[in-house]
Amino acid sequence: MHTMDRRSDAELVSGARQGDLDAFAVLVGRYRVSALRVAYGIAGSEAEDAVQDAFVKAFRKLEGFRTDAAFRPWLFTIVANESRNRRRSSSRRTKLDLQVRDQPQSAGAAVDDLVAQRDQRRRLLDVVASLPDRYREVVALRYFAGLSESETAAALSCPSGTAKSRLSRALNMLRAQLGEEVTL
Amino acid sequence: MTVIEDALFDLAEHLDHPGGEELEATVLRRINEPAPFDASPRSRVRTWLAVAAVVVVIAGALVAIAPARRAIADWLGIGAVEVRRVDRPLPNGPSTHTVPGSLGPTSPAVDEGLQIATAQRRVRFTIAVPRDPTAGTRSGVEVDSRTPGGLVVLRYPRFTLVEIASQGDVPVVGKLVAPGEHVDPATVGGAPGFWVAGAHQVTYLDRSGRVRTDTVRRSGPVLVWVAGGVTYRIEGLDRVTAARIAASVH
Repeated sequence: MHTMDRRSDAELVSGARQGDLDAFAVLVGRYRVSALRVAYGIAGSEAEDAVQDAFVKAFRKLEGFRTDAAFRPWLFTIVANESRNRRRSSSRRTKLDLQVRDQPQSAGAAVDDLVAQRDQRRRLLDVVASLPDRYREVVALRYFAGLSESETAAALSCPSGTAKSRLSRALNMLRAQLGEEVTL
Repeated sequence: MTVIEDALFDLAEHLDHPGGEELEATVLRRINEPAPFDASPRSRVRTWLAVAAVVVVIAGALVAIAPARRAIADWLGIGAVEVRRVDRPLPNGPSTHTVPGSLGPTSPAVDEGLQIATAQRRVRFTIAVPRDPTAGTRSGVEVDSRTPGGLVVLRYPRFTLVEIASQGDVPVVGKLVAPGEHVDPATVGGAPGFWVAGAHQVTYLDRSGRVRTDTVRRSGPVLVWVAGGVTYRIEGLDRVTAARIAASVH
């Protein structure tokens, strides 16, 4: 699997820039899931198309990528932009319909607990989906993709202070709506 | 780490998002697909590009241009050029390529056997047809969905008329002309164009920005012109006839 590839992002980017598509494929494999999560958080059901567009666009833009910069935030800037575009051009202006996966029952776990967890996740996701776009974006980058605060700021092309305060505001909005419901 | 943050990280692991393992393959396929009109705008080239699109002609056989977009821009006097000329004949033989609008093997992206009205719904520009009575009866209409604004191929008994939405994007269809063959500026109803004499290679930029010349076909003489944001190409006629048919296209 590509995930086992030991080469660094920088090495793979350098290879891809010289036309090594396999190197780029490794990068796609490495960031596929987190990119999909971000795109899903921003654009809902259009996530897959947004991510496809983002990777294709990233490949075309590699020539202009500064090799001393970090690839991950650069890529997620594109992912977030493409997702935003998809969301904006979507005819569905209603609230995003996001879903949690039904998990397979693990041996030994009480069914009641699993149901409670699932319901709790659904509730949290509903609240995330109801956030204004700019707050949902920052939540998707920071938590769904697992970017650091500074990477999140870089992906949003804003000062880290701005990203931080937006994040903190988003969390407060979530808390306010959830009340004491989150007990995880 | 607060409770809510933990809950969000946990949630990320359980999102039911679309997108499977095939995403990598899809991305790679798209990168490799020919992209006659690249979506990335280069505003400074837009004004002249309309004409150039079409015809990037390089005297002498030429191979291995990279990066191609720069090479093409350079040839037109923008940027730095990186062209390697070799004294080698153009490849010949049956076409294996799928350059949009070509006469080669049909690509899955091409819909054949359409009516004009059906094709019209699939492209963003108004499809024009030749009004000259000597054009003959149209024998086929095809739409190639790989270009953003659409590409239509109209087949007539003696020639093929291709119409491509220009959209101001970077054009990537080019032609390589071997020694002894030439290109003349031409106008069609006042619109700028070129007449490419003799057989020549058709090239295109793939989505990664590389010129693809390995599977190109040979094309016969063509008249190419640009009007109203649409690039037209007539292939298969002598120059005088092509000019007459072209002038009747609207």
